[in-house]
Order: sequence, then C-alpha cells, then structure tokens
Amino acid sequence: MAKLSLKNVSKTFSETEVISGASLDITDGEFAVFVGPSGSGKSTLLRIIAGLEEIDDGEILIDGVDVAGIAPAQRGIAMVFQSYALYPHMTVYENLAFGLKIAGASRDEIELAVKSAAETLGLVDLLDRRPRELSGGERQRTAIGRAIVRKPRIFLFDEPLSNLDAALRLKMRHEFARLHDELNTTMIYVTHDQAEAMTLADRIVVLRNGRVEQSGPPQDLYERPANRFVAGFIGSPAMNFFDGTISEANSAGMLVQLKGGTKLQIAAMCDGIAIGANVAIGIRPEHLAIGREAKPNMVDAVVDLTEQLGSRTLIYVRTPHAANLSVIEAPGNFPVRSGEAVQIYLPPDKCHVFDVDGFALPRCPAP
Amino acid sequence: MRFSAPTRTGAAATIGLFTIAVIALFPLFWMLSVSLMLPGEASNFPPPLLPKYPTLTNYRALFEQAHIGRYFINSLIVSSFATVLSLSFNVTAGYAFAKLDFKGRDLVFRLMLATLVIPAQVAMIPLFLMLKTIGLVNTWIGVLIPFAAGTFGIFLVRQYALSIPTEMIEAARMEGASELRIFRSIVLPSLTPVLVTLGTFTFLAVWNDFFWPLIVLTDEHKYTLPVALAALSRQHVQDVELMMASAVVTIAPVLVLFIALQRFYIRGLLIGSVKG
Ligand SMILES: Nc1ncnc2c1ncn2[C@@H]1O[C@H](COP(=O)(O)OP(=O)(O)OP(=O)(O)O)[C@@H](O)[C@H]1O
Ligand SMILES: [Mg+2]
Repeated sequence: MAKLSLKNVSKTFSETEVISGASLDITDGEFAVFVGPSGSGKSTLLRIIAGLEEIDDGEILIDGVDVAGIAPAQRGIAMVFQSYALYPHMTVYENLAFGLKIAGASRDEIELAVKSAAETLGLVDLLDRRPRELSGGERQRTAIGRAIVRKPRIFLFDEPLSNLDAALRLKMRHEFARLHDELNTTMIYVTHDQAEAMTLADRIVVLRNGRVEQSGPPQDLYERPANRFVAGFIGSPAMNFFDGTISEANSAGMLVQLKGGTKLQIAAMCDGIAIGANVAIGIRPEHLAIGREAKPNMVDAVVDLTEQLGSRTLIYVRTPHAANLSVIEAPGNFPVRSGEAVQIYLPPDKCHVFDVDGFALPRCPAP
Repeated sequence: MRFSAPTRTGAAATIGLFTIAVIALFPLFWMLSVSLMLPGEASNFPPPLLPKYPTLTNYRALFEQAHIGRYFINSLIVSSFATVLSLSFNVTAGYAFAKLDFKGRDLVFRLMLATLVIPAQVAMIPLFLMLKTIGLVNTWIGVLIPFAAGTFGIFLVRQYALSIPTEMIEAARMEGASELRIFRSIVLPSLTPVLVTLGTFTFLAVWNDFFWPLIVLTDEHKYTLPVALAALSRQHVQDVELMMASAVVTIAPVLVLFIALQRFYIRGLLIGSVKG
C-alpha cells in the first residue's frame, strides 16, 4: 500500500518527447486507470513508475520518497506486462516462486505464498503446467499471481485483458475488482476499454501526447470533462459536438447561435469569453431527445440510420449544424424510420460548452 | 506422430528421398567396409563391396603402431575446450549485443560484421605471429584460441537472442534478479537450441580443422587427429584399408554427436511465454 506522486515527469526517446511534464497523484489503495489513444504514453508512464525507464526531468515519489536511482526491484512495485512475459521453461509454480527465491525466502515461506496466491486465482490445479500448456486466461492469471506473491506496494497492469475474448474479459474484470477489494493495494491499470475504465477505476487518468488531460473519479470525468478531448474520449458512443458562436449572456447562462441560425439556451457561464466568440457545444447521446413538433432548444435533423441494440436504439441523424452525423441514444425499439425529418431537443443543463482552445466553460450551478 | 494416408506424390517423394539417402550413405558404408578388409583387398578389380574375411587388423595397426589413440584424445581435448570457450564467449557476447543497452553497441556490432569480409586464410599469418609473440606456438591453447570467439558465433547467438521477449527479462529484473541470474535462469534456458547448434558447429570445426593445427603444432605428440593422419598417409599411401580405418575413427565421433543432438536443433523453447 502506498501513495504515488508524479511531479512534472518528462521522458524523451531519441528527440521525441513521449511524456511531457506529467503530474499526477494517486492515493493509497486507489485503483487508477490510465486511458488514452494509442501512442499517448500509457505504457511508457507505467514503465517509468516501475523504474524500467529513466526520466529526463521531474520527480516520482512513492510514499513521499523520491525513487530516482532506486532499482525497479527495490521500489516495491509489481508489474503485469502486456505480453504476460512468463518464464516459458518454468512451471506455474516456479514462475510464481522465482521472485521469492531471489529474495531469499525459505522453502516453506515460498510454498505458503504460492499456494495462497494460487488459491486466490484458481491456479491450484495448474501449478505443474508450463506456460505453453495454459489457455490465455490461465496465463493471464499466472502473470497476476507472479505479481501478487511479492506483496508489492503498488501493482501495475498494462492492458492485461486485451487478448482475451469478450466473455473472459468480463469475468476477469470482475476478478480484478474482487482482487482490489481483497488486497486493497494501490493499483494502476491501463486499458482501451471504456467499460473496464468506468467500472474498475476510483480514478481515471486521461493521457494524450504524453500529457495528463484530466484525472479524477469516473463520474466526474463523465459529467464535467475539463476539455473537448476528454469529453470526446470518455463515453461510448462518443459525445456529439455542434459548432456555434456565443450570441448573448443571460441569467440562465448563455445563448449560443448555431451555424444555421438556430439559437440554443445553455446553462454554462461566459466567464471572460467575449460575445461572438466561437465555441463548440457538446452533448452526450443519451441526453438528446427526439421530438416531432418544434419547441425551444430544438434543432432540425434527418434520420440517417438506426441501430437496434435490444435494450436501446442508436439513431444517427444529420443536422445542418455539424459536419458529422450526430447520434442519439433512445429506448429500445424506438419507432423512427431512416429519412424521417425530426427535431432533436438539447436540454440546457446537459450541454457542455468548449472554447476555441477546447477548454470547458464552467457550468451554471444547479438551481 | 501422425501419418497421413499414402498418396502418389507421397510415395514418389519417399522413393526419391530414399534414393538420395542411399547415394549419400554409400561412400560411408564402403569406407566402413574397406576398413574391415585385409591389406590390399580393396585394390582388386572389380573392387569388392564387402570384405571376404572381415578383420580388425587395420584398427589394431592404427592403435598399436600409429598410436592413433593418443591423437584421438588430443583432438577430443582440443575440440572440447574450444567448444566450451566458444560457448562461453559467443553466447554472452551475442546476448549482450541483442538485449543489453550500452554505448556504441550497434557501432561495435557493425564493425565486427565488417570483419567477415576478411578471409580466414589472410588472417592466419598475422595470427600466427601474434601467437608467437605471446609464446603460444606449439601449444593446444594456440590451436583453440581462434575458435574461442568469432563473428559468426556472436552473430548466430545475437539473432536468436533477439527473439527473447525483452519484457521477460524486465520481469525478472523487477523481481530482483541480478543480471547474472537473469542470464543463467532466464536467458540460457531460452537459448538451448542455439547453444546446441553453436556447440556442434564449433566442435566439428575444430575436430576437422587441419591447416591451423598443422601451422601451430610442431611437436608430433601434440598433433590432432587430422594432422596425425596426414602424416600417416604420407607413409602409407598404398594402404587404402588402413586409411579407411583412420577415416572411420575420425568420422565416427562427430557422426554420433550429430545424431545424438539433432533433435535439439530446431526446437523453439519460447512457446508459451508471450500471449497470442
Ligand atoms: N523505446 C522506445 N524508443 C523510442 N520510442 C518509443 C519507445 N517506447 C515507446 N516509444 C514511443 O513513445 C510513444 C508512446 O508509447 P507507449 O507505448 O507508451 O504508448 P501507449 O499509450 O502504451 O500505446 P498503446 O495504447 O498502443 O499501447 C509512442 O509514440 C512510441 O512510439
Ligand atoms: Mg501500451
């Protein structure tokens, strides 16, 4: 158990800056999830924390102690690699025991630790097998077991579930949640999967181009994205955006004029942004509603295509205000046809406004 | 093992391969056969396929009069030491070039590869002069030292070691294993196939090498088998049977070695370490 702080960490690989001034605090026992596009530096950041890569600038503190110059093995960190990296010529038992053996643990201690980890992970019957005789999920659990037996202060997981099929992923996701409850150790987890990130995380850290875009509890990021990138990255299907200009500030927030001339009332504050400034309105698919007669805060749309997902319907519409299709999440089996002209309603308190630099404007406090 | 149902192409291939095998093995077979003939028997016309009265006379002559046993032992010692040395140096160097980060690694490696264009024969005289200065002429160490490390061996090991997943080494590093421990417990077991291959190559190369030991060794007692046999054949040009027996003595150990180790050659040991 440990808390971790990164202060302004930078890392350059042959001239390209891969991590640029990343700062981050992860508290003791927290489950932090790193998300971000491919190449954003998630794996690199994990390797930096593990001590496998040296940093060019900044500080890494574990429990307040600067770990610069401390060897990976001495940091009290265990890492599960994207590729598992099991030792192929050793049995599952030997794979789990290797680290303890090196640490000089006695035979009995090793046996006890391995057995207990094997029980936690359901590996008891597999201890005599070699990695090549294991299924993907079993290899995965062996790799986790190898991390657990060392009783680290911090666990690092790099896309541990990326090679498993959907059913197994779901099962293992629950295993991770249970493992975290049981061990209560600080964990950092990298994933591309929205559902994994939202469900497992106490804190989601969104990375882009080696920078921390936002870090906070999943619901915070979902409801109050700090910028347009985070807004578009968190949530699936992704948030819809419409371009417009601020036409006036009023007591309920502001009025934004869309390209076609339609004006929308939005509960966000101008805060130093001039009238007439270009902005983008963001709204999540589940907050858009379809109507058939004109009301305030509605825009014209034509249904392009619909996807029936059983419990819900995704309706893709074309509007004059956005270059791309916008998507609406409606209840299952929603009665609407392709080519139908509809109105979509944007609730003022559900809209986000981003300035030209992508920063979110503060939202009006709920009345 | 699974056998597929016999097919026409399968049968043709089998017959073809069998024919080639017979052609390849026939000289070996005749060598063995002649070595068991009485002196002069093989020179009859037409040459007999099998000895009329199989005898070990030639072997007895080899071991009792020509003391070939001593040269055999000499060769065995020189080849074994060369193999051990070659494995120690080439494997560690090859691994370092593949997986360890150090300044100038790629530059040094490329320079080393560049030396491949220099033919071994050209290097022999300078090498000999160097050994002479150090005082290693007419010693076994002098014979085996050029085999201790070589571009080819290092290259072979490096290419194979590149396939070891770096994350596996890092995992061991994170578990606190020292670099030596990683090499011993993680890297070496993964390198087994290339160890066997390189070991066999080196052993064969030294065992069969004629020219270099001929240059380095002056003392007859230190001769290796090929050098001793060359000396012997100068005295016994006529004795085909005796020469064949000595050829058998030379070839037998390497043949046995080859057959015993062949199952290790191709086997990949890395299956299962990495997902996918
Ligand atoms: N050893 C290295 N040398 C040079 N560049 C590197 C090295 N390791 C990573 N990079 C670069 O750093 C950037 C970040 O890589 P990283 O592996 O951290 O991304 P990631 O967020 O984990 O991506 P993914 O989601 O695809 O795993 C990439 O552009 C990559 O090319
Ligand atoms: Mg990665």
